[in-house]
Amino acid sequence: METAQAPTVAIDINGGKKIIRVKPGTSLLAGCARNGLFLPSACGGNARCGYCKVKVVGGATPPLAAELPLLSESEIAAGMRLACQTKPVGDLAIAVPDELFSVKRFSGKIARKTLVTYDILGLSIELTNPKTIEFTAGQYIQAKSMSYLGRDAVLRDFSIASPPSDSSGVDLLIRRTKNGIFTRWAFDVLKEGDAISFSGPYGAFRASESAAPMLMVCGSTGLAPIWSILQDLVRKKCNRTIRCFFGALSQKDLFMVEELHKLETGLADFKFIPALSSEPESGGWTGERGLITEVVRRNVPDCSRFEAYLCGSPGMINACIAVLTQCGLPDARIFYDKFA
Amino acid sequence: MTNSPESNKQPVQAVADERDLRKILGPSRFSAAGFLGADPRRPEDIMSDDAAMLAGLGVDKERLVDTLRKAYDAAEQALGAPVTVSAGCVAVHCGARGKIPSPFANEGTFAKGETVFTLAASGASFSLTPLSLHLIDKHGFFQGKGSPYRVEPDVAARMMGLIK
Ligand SMILES: Cc1cc2nc3c(=O)[nH]c(=O)nc-3n(C[C@H](O)[C@H](O)[C@H](O)COP(=O)(O)OP(=O)(O)OC[C@H]3O[C@@H](n4cnc5c(N)ncnc54)[C@H](O)[C@@H]3O)c2cc1C
Ligand code: FES
Repeated sequence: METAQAPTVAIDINGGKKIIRVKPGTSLLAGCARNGLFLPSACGGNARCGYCKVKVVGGATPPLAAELPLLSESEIAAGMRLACQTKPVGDLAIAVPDELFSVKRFSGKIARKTLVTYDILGLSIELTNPKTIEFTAGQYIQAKSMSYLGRDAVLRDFSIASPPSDSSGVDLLIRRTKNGIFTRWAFDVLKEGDAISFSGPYGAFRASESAAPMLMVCGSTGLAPIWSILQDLVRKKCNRTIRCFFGALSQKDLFMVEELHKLETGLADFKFIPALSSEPESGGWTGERGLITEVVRRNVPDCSRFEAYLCGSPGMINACIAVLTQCGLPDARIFYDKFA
Repeated sequence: MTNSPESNKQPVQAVADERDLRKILGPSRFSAAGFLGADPRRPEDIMSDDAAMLAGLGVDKERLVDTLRKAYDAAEQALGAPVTVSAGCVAVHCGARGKIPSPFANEGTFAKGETVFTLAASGASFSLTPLSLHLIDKHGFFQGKGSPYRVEPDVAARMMGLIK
């Protein structure tokens, strides 16, 4: 007996780089995942997180009401849609960042868990399946917690702190977030030897290929991608001028200072400048003092030749962008993870 | 403050019915404690009781939201250093990466950082996040008693210097 083939629609991804067929009405997010293309998502496809944006370049229908709060006007004009809400009933063409083709799901185990400061944890994940990962320094992964204390497992993003040359695992720096679901699990429940899974790598934050001098500004776990980039630049024998500013409140918030100062001999023209904004005068601190933005302005009054790499809280990023712009740096040369 | 979508006022009752409302305001994959705390009142009653309290104090909600937003922004710009935002009230911001969606559909996502406001004299304090400010602004929802992000309207108005 002949069985009727279920009808499918074709999704063309990045101008024919990959073509998948899905049942009409299947969300792009689910259809792509079933075909090995893992778009970022943190809400299980419920139009809540805004992570799953893709550009629809052919066959688009207008965005649904549920998508509107998560898409800016310029994104809508550019054809951006939430993959979890886009359910094609006809053929469709979409464009996604090329690096998403290399996103995979990984299993690993916690090889090392150390307290780096009173509120920052260092985690080393050793991969078990697959056994290696390829990524570009500056990218992040999306890790999954286990359910605990009646809470569901959740997905959260973490920048990779280790360099791409260490392909057998990834190191993360995790800061305890007040009332946070994932970070409480990581600090209080997760143990060395435990299994952990994640997907990745994601993100476009990375060092450019140019020869321009680099201005790096970070705070807290914003050091993670910067540390990965710096280790990668050492391996590549980079001879660019690099000024790396790390902003913290007091000495108890500083970490990896020795390792970073060591790079002053490992790289051709590198300076690490930690700065404290609330350290008591009696604390014996002889380094820079003040808000990180003031310290950057003092040390590099003319930024116009630089490229800036920023990583930290939204408040820090916004304050840095304002100061760097005043110091002559055009927007196009200021890089940061817009998602974060 | 980052990421607040434009607020277009809409009564929260229109968003979901009572049972759904308790569910979406409970603990979730995005908020460990949820938004109701141990408050036995219906969410609508929490909102109307708080609105009545503000009216009784003669405080306009929009003015309170505006003052709180300015105080939040001032603390955020200080990047964690304490800032005096009104007589005797100190604000300390703790920035965080990542965003949390509103519990109500179609309202966007909000930065996860928070600012703690403390009155030096009494030690009274409350925590404010971009999401909690959005919920107060858009729905008049100050959250249930026992929620870590409950803002007592009278305490906030006093600490912001809007009432004696
Ligand atoms: C690209 C990217 C890279 C990142 N890299 C790192 C990294 O390297 N290291 C790192 O530590 N983090 C990183 N983050 C942040 C990380 O993904 C998590 O967001 C963060 O760790 C907190 O997760 P959590 O589950 O502990 O907190 P969550 O439980 O998700 O959030 C807790 C917060 O939500 C808010 N909230 C919860 N309930 C309420 C309520 N009732 N009312 C008002 N507000 C409420 C509060 O602000 C609270 O502090 C990154 C984020 C992105 C997007
Ligand atoms: S997966 Fe979260 S908005 Fe689409």
